Amino acid sequence: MPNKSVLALCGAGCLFLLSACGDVTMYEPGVYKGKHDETATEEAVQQRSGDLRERAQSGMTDR
Amino acid sequence: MARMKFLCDAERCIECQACVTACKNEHEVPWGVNRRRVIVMNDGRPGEKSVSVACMHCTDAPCAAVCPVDCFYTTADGIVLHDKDLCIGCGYCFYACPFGAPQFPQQTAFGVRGKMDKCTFCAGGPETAGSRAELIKYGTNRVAEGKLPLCAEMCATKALLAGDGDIVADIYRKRVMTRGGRPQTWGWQAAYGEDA
Repeated sequence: MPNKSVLALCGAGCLFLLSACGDVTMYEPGVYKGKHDETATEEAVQQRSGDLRERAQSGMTDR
Repeated sequence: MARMKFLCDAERCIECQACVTACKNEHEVPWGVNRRRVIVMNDGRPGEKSVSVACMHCTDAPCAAVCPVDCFYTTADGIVLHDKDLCIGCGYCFYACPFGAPQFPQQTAFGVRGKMDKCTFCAGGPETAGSRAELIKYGTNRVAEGKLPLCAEMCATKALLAGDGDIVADIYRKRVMTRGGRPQTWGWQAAYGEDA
């Protein structure tokens, strides 16, 4: 029967190894964890929406 | 908040394939990948109709729902984009998409799937807007420059509409009113015949 302290040490060692010691991305279902897209934010969209609306109205409508 | 949408008016599309060519040229899409295609129904018969199809940027995108690595995200104006650095090329999105939008480049002789490629609504991807990396991975980012997708902008008959869903719907509604009726390309009669 191994000593309790040895077991605890092994457990701690395993946890340390599994944590990969740094920047770990944990998987969560349905959550995007890729690169941040600065043009996808609400501010960026609000900034460009006027231009896009004007362009659609001038370019797409029947003249 | 605007919600970006495509709409192809089948009464106007003349199957010129200019949208396909414009897309391939603008984004330097590799050989074998078609982000946009023109589908022809009743080809060569009376009542032939064509419709230009690409990613429809679904509100509840099935590709995103089935992606095992969750590489899809939606911009605040409803454009469905994906991160090619996360994509593992599994092809689930291809089976889930009702429009056949996801494309997989054939990189080797044995057809091993590469990273998925699809229409970005000319909005690039999760790289710095206008950067070389964005161009290589996702194509040009016209939306960031205040421009709409090139396929729609250069459609000669204005069959392909793109932009805020409200504006697109208004344009199409006016056309239907002018034509004096609903086009019967789709709907009950087209599906089940005149007698149904």
